[in-house]
Amino acid sequence: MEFYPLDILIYVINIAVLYILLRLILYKPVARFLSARAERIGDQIAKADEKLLEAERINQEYRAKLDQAVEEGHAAVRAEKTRAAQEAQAIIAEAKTESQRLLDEAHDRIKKEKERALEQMQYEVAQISVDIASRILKREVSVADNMRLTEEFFRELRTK
Amino acid sequence: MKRSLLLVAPSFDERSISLVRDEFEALTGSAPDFDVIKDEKLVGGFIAIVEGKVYDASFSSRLSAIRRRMTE
Amino acid sequence: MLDHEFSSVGGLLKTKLSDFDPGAHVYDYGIVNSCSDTIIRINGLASCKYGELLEFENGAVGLTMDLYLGGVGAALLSGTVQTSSIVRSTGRVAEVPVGEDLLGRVVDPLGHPLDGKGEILARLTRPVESAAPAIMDRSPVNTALETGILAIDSMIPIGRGQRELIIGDRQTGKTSIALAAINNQKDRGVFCVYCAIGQKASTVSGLVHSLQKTGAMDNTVVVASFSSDTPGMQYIAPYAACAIAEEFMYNGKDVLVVYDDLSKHAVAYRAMSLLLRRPSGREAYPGDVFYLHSRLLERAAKLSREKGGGSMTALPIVETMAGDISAYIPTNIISITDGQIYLETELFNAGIRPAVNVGLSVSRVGRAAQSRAMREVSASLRLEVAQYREMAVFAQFGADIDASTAELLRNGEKLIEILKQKQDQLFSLSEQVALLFAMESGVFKGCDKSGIDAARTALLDFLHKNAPSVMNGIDATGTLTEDDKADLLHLFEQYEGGGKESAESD
Repeated sequence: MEFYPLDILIYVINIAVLYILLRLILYKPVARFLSARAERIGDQIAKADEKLLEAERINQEYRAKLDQAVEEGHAAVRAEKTRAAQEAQAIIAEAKTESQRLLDEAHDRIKKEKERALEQMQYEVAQISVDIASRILKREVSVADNMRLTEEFFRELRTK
Repeated sequence: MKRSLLLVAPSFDERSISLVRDEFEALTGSAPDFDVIKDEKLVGGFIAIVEGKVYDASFSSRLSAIRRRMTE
Repeated sequence: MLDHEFSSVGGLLKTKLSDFDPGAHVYDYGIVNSCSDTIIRINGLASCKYGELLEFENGAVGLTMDLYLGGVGAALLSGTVQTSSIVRSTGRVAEVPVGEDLLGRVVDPLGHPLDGKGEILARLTRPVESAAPAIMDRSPVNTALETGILAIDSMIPIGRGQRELIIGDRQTGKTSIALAAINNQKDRGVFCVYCAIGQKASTVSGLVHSLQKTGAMDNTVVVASFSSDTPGMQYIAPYAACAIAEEFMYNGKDVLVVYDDLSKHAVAYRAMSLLLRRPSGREAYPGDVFYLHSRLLERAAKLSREKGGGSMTALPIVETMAGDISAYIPTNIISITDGQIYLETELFNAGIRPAVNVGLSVSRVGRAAQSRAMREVSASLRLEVAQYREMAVFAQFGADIDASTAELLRNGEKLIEILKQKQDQLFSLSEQVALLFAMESGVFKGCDKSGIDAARTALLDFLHKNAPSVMNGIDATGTLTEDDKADLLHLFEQYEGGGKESAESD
């Protein structure tokens, strides 16, 4: 085999130039790209971790809220039950007093009707008896009665 | 004022009328000159209107008073 | 008192007659000299009393109004009279039958029934004129008389025993306010007496029908003297109504009396006085026209516990001409009463009904007559309405207004809308308190002016459906406790949250 040192030199220079060119054109950008990519991935992993933590935290929070809501719901139901029972009692009591009131009212009404009927009867009896008396007197009063009445009248007048 | 008025029941006779006249003379001092009218609404007794006053001795007013008393 | 057995009627009558002694009847008589325009001049009747009732030959009735040497001047109350007919004095001053038998009836000032339901067998009578309660028989006004009208109960509260004048031009809703007050007393144990003076018979008839429809007629007495009655009848009508009310008051009950209206009463009195040739004064009214109304209105009072604790609340109504409240009769009555409710035609025509001018209306009894609950929620209401009115005047001119003023105007408009009320619409105490509390808590913030009425109805329906115990509690005790307030706020939240849609869609 023959060595041509010039060819070797050219090859070496070629390789060197190629190497330099590649390093400039390809290596640096690629390295940059790779490191950027690595950084990005690193960031995303970090973000994902953060988000996971956040999710955990929110999960805990909502779990706590749910428990609280369930508890509140129970308490509200209990309170409403008591209130409903109280209102039921109140309604029953009201109904009792109302029915008593209606009874009393009815009694009063009956009493009033009776009194009114009695008064009416008293009035009618008075009218009729005076009418009858008047008719009888018209027929029966005599001269002597008139005389007596006149004397009585003037006697009273004198004593007044 | 008008003449004195004497309303009497139909059953009043002359004697009773003159009794009334005498009594009024004793009461007022002078015998009033009566216009005598018979009114059967009186039932009995008389009503005399003398010198601005009404002297009511009729059965009808007493009956009315009784009626009023019973219905009050 | 009646023995409650029919068989004892005979015995009862006998007892009455057992000590009956007719006595000698001697009485004065007179002769009618002249009769013109319902004023009768009579010769004779030397011992007749002023205000005594006179009986004429054919059953006509007159009232002695004038005493002079040799004769008497009388006002004809009913019937017809001929000259030279005989007149008898009855020995009784004008009196009217009183008692619970009159409830639900329409009577004339002498107690004769006008409703065709038969004779009134009242056993008691009272003279129409009587002295007002003495100072020591009175006690301060401290209980509310609820009219059911939000604008009045919150800003111009009326107490039991107060005299509150309702004054305004014709057709401004004066009688409607009085009627609403009567309707609201239906189940509260307050008796009502409505006195119609010189009104049309058709008007009174319509009024009676409307009271019957609402069921308020069962505890109301209507004393009516129509414009076709003699001036004498119109003159004694309010006194008769007052006497009927006094009977209830002195028996420990609370009564509301409405005199509708006293301007016509003064006119009737003027007519009578001029015909009696009495000297006339300002506006041709006689010199004692103040006394005419003062002695009537002074009889309304709240009695002390020793006297039974009853009360008579008077709502006189006066009609002004062209809004002139400085005329003779209005100023007289304003100085007598404990406040006035002033109704304006402009407000009425603008749709604000009741057309109450809050600025000129006042209640001199004030907050003492309000329940605690109402006092709490209505403390600044008058001020807010007054401020709104002031600002509204400026806003009318289209001036530039800042945000806070715009808010004030918006709130004020909503407040005015809340205070509007239809004629047959009555709010109970709890409803009024709830509405004002809701307004204060901003429940109506999201509504616009035109939706307030619907929102108000929806809110009240919601409250009645979901918290009847709270509402009943406020009505029963008249107080708004902290628990009630918390409950109401909670309910308002619920209403705003979901109840609003469902309630409005109902």
